[in-house]
Amino acid sequence: MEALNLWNGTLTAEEFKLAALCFVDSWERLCPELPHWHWVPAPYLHRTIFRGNVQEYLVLENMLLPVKNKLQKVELSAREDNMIMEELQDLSTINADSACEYHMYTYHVIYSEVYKVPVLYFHGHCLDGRQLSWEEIQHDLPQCSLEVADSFHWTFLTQEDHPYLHHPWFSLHPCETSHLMSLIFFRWICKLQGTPLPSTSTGDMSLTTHSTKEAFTEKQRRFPEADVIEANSETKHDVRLLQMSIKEEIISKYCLTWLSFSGAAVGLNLSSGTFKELWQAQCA
Amino acid sequence: MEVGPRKLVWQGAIPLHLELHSSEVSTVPPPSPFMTLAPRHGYLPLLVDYIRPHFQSALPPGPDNIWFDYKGLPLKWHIPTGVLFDLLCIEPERPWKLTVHFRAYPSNLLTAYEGSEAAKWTFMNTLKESLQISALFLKRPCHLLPSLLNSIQQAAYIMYGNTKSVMNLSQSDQLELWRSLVKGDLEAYDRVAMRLRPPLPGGITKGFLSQSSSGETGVDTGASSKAGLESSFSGKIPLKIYVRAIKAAREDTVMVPPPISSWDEVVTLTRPFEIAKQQGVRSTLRDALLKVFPHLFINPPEMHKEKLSNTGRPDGPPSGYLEAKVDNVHEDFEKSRGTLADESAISSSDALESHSLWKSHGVSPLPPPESLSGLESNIKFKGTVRIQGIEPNLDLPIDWIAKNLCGTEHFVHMCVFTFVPPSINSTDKD
Repeated sequence: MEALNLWNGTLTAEEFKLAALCFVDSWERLCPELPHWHWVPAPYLHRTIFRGNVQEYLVLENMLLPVKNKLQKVELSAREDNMIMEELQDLSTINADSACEYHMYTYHVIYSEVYKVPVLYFHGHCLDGRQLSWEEIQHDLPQCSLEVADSFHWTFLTQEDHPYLHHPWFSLHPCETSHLMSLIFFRWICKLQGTPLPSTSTGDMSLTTHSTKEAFTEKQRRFPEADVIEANSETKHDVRLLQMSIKEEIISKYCLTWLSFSGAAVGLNLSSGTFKELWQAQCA
Repeated sequence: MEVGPRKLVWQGAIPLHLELHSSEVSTVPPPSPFMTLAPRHGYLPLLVDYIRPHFQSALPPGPDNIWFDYKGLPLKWHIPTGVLFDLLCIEPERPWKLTVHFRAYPSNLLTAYEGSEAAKWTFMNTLKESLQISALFLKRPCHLLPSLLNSIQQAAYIMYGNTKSVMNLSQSDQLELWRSLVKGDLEAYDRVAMRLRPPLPGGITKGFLSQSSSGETGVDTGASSKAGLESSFSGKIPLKIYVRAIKAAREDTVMVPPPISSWDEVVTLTRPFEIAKQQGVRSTLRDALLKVFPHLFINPPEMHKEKLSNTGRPDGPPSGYLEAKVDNVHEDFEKSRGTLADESAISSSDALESHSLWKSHGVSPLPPPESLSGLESNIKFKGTVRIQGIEPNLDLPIDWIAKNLCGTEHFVHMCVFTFVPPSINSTDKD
């Protein structure tokens, strides 16, 4: 097995399925007040014709997001966030006048055979059922996403044909996903493996992590055995077991980690408290 | 000089017969139909500047937003015209009778062709500047560029494992790439496309783009070309597969399948196909199909049978039923082969059949038996494959197809026709 430090951030279709099921489960347990994620099969015809591929995907329906201009404060703390969610539980409290104070979003997470990572598709509508235009959706996006959308238009948010439903959906471009995932997990993997981290200087965290990983990867390439425990067959076996369990850990945390940035980019914000809880739950 | 299949495909065009939708006719008498040639590699809305002047006077007031339908099915503009034609016209219709609309864009069915998002994209400004330069390069077609680039990016990812080469294309290169596509200029296209190849250590480059010129002109010496082919295709080939599931209750009803009424009847899949790495083994189109549709073969080899039983088919139709249907219908397709291709395709398929190109390369058109990846050649595909209007021999090497029949985004667009029992409701979720 390849050293996990060199893990490129991608999953196989089967690993994605596992990751998704883990995620659905802990979400349901820890966010009972939020709509649940579902693991849904692709349309029947698709399954008949492309047998043998993983043909299910994650669906989160009816996620209510507050419309920005109706709220004084856009950046919600975890506490406020929870309060709003409590409010939202009882739909009847929203009277007809404020029918569009919230937008209802649907998110689909579909595995990409090309990039070997999950891809987020979404669309939104008003509470009266009218589909949101791109302008309205843009209005709901966090400011930072809008800025990225401005400068990286065709590699960030695009309107795409839904791979299964054949309708236009908005989609987050997956070309940087695997790179991001490998960076996020890099330190964590090193820690679990007991691999000493190459010395780092303080400074911008993301940049440091990035260059650290690059340096480390280069080192691993040149001296593949340098950081792995010396080779007699028994320890090799142990290393393999350790790596397998780490891989399992990665898979169990993959979707959550991925959603923490992909979801945030499209306004599906998890409060940091919820995130922590979910993360810890998946450790167990 | 001999014209290679790649050039022929680039020159391929589909004759269109366009009528304005009756709801948009505001004059008496209604405007006459408009005839034009649509390049196979192009996208339908690109024709707007040829089409609009003809219908302009008949249109009611309002902003234009062009779209097309074929027998009521709104056509997805991000699929190349040639692929749409291959997929939707089983019995090719010449000219292809389409209805053009300038109003009431079905934004719930088709991705936005014109939107304010496009205006925000920074590189659009660069494109707009180019409007001054190129008359062909009018405002609306610009919106297609992101879609094209996205596809190229996917293809590059499959072939090279990263998208850096595409991301690093300069704005002027993006523009040049687009312009070559609009004009159908293969040489200009290749000049930019060469830059998509990532450099390898030691200055060697690989990938099928680098081999495109030899495929196109056929002037390479046999030996070097053969070596080039073998060494250059050790990677993955990007496939876009469009499967049209034809409902067949009885064989005779399938002779003329009804037109598609909804995109739900088409299933699409984007997939990398990894070509054989062993020496002396050359992956064929059959190998690629076996990988994707092992269950659509009669007598699938053992390894695929195993795979099938592993993956299971809890909700599929009984296989015997499907096989029997498909067998009969397949014969009909076989019979009608040759009448199915359009102008360009006929010449390309002639080129394929005469094997002149192969002879000039000193390469046998059909790989020797041992190179069939050890598969028996009596296994039969229960369906029909169409690529660029051609129904290719399944023994054709897939790398050859990738090199010569791929689209401008480097994807091999493969239309597959197969049969499903009529009871299948494509919109059912379970």
